[in-house]
Amino acid sequence: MKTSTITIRQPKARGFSLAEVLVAMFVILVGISGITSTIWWGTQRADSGQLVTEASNHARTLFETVVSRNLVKLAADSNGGNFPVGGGTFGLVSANAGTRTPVYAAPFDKATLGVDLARHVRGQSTATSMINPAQQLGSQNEVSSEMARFTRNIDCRRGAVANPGVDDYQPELCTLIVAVYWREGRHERNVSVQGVIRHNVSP
Amino acid sequence: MKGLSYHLPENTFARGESMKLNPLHNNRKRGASILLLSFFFMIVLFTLASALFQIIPAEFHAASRAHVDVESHYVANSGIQHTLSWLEKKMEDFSKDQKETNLPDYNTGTASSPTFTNINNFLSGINGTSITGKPDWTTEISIEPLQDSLGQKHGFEPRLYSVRSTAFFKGKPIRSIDVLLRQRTFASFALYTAETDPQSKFVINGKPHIFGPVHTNDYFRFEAVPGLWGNPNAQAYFTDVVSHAGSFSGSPDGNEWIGGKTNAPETNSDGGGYDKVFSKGRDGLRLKNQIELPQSTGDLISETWPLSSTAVPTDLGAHLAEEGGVMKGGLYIEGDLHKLHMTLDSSGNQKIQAIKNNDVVGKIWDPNKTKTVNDTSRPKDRVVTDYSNCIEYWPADTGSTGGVNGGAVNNCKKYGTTLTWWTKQVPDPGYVNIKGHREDIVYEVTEAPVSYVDETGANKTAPVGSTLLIQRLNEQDDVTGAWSGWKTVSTKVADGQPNGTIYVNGNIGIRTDNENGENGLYGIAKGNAIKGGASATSVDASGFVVDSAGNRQYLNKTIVTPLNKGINLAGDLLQFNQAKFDANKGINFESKVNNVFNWTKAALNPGRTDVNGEPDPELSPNNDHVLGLVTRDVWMKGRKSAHSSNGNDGFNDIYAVILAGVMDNKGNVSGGFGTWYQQRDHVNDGLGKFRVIGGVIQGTTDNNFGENQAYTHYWANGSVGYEASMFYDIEATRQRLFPTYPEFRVVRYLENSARK
Repeated sequence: MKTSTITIRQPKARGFSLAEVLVAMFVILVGISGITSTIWWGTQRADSGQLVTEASNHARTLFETVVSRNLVKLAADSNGGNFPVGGGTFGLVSANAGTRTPVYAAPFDKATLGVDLARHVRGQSTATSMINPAQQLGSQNEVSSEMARFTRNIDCRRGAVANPGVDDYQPELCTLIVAVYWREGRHERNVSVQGVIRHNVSP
Repeated sequence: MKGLSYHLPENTFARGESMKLNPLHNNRKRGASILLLSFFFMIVLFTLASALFQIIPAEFHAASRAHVDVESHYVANSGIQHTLSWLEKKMEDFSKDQKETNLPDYNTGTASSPTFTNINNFLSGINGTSITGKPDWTTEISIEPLQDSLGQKHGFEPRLYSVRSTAFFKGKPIRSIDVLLRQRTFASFALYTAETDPQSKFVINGKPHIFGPVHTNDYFRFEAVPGLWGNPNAQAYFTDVVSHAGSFSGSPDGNEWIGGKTNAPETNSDGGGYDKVFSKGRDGLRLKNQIELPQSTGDLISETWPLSSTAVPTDLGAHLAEEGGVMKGGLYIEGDLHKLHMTLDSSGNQKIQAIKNNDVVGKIWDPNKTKTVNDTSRPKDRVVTDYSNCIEYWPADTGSTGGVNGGAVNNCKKYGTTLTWWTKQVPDPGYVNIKGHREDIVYEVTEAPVSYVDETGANKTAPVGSTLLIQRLNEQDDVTGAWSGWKTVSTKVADGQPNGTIYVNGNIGIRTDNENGENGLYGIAKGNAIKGGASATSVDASGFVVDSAGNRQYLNKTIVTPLNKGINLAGDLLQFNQAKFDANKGINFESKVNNVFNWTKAALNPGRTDVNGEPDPELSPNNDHVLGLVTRDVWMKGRKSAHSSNGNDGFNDIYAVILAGVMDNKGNVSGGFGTWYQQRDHVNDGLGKFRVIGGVIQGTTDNNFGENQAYTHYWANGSVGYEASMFYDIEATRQRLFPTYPEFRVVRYLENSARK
């Protein structure tokens, strides 16, 4: 039996050059770093989204509480019936836009309202609960620490008559501005809701 | 370089063939392929990164979008607030000066495309502007008045407007709110009190008492019974929202808690104490703006008496607002009444008796009438100036003590120096008053014809669909004091039915301190069926308007007096119930005061209880027969009080929404609901019990026990006054005619996304 012999010449042994490896590593590194930064950025944005949602909820709660409890009138009454009402002792608003107040500080505290808004926002009953306190969503301290990152600024600007005989009603209204602030890193962020309400303050 | 040897099986390759893999070629491509792989890998990563870039911040985008939606709600709602304020300002101006030019526009029904000048002027300053102060946000509003008649010039008929407000963000519509606004009437409260007396308080005892909204322009005084806060079974005293416009200094919630802070709910743990007072807890107690009582009811006369050809009557008694034999308005009654008895005849026709006793019932021409004149034929006489006691000498034997000779001490005259003429009677033919009893009977003939005898003695019949007025007198001879007996002096039949308004230009129930309280208003109130006109599309066999189910349509009644008059509730005031009446036809409902046995067979049952035996009075199934009362004072004398402390008092049942109060142009408030001061001295046995199913709107409370004031309104509770229960009847809020005030409420609310 005749056998054939094939001789395969060993080519010159050659690996990836250093340059190639470096280029490949660079490309991969760029890609991975891009992915990582995207994930990191996305995570941050997701956190921001949650904070925006929470802050928006706080702003709505504050807004509705001001309206339902007629707090603008009480604040104005404490200020001699005058607008802006931040000069009064009621503590509702601040004439200084740079002022920050803990989000549920007076007059939104339990001592004033008889309702713990912070717990209310967390979905816990403010009345005597039928649920064992140990089974509730969180302790008062936990709730308080969560709320601590949010601050507020509230203002109410009374309407003015621009066209007598047509918009004489304007002084009965004010534009309620509720802004809720929080910090993300070195930056302060905020959401605000603005709406026109009737304040019931005597002319 | 020595090659490697591979020993492959024979025929692995054909002779002369070489392996396809060309190592030299592979070497040349290797550098490129690694780059290709790298780029491929990079593209994959880039694609992945792009996808993550889109996906990962989705929550942030959703949160931002949700916040835009939140903002859009407040922007759109701001448009509604502007509209509400504008409408209320307009109505406030109108209520002060009654100038129609101050009204917001309404459809006149005469133009196919009416122009709403006032509305357009208002909207031109609003639409497209940033009313919340955020430049990116603008608002567009549209307003459509829904009332379609000119009968809107009085303050009794609530106005309706349909409003749409749309919020735009950077020019794109985001959210729209559609609302139906209805002007508020005072028929919106279980209890309203403009001013409360400092001694007037609610004693919170762990049981529900006030079933419906409560308001005061003042602040409230609450007193919790001992042990209330610790009682786990205590129920809320108020079952609906309680609002106040005034504030008690120093109280966190603006109201006085008698007993100090230790007896106030805010001192309880978790604020839970409020739940034992208000069913909504602390949120059930709210600060609101003042609601001012009406100053007059005079503008309702135009609704009761809309006739242009005939002036408002000045003759005493009842008058039908008819023209050419056709009913055009309501029932107008001139003068005070002893009784206004609302009852039913055996067929179910509403029968209203207006009774005035010992009245000037008419006038006759008397040719023999004389008058007193000075008798100048005689010299003047001296005027008596003093009637001081003196001793009379004669007759000497008329007494055992006293004067000289045992005579009585009598008056004697002293004459002064002034001289006057003697007088004499001379002929003076003219009209003289006839005194006696007067009774006017109105039949609203809706069920069966009513037979009657007219003033000539002829037998006649009023057909179904008509209104019959019979005026009767029982005259008294002013010489002998003999009574003539009842006789019919006039009758009138008009086609159609009254429009539900009864205007009494006087008091209902002449109140005296010694009478037993039977004088006044009582009975069963039934609404006025609407007679079909030419435009009616659906009528029954008797010509009355019916709905698609064949049920008659009714206008509920409102009884109104001027706001310096009063109404005494002489007995139960119940509400007609058609279903019950059908089952008991033939019973005579012309019953006496408080004949509950018969009345409960034709009226809603105020004494109904639930399965637990708790009070659960039958509320109105609709507003067909809900009665409204508008006056200054509504009195009651506790007709069913046993005046004993054994709790055997019967309930005085009142199915009505009552406004008793008035505000003058200086802002002073008077009037109220309760009893008068002569009855307040039942400190040990109380005044009895009453149930109001409807609501009470009153000017004042007065708890100044023992003060000798002519008018007070005292109810308290139990042992020293009435034991009161108030049941708010929500159907009363749809009272067609009841005093309105310049506020609007949202009766329909629809919020939609307007994103396209």
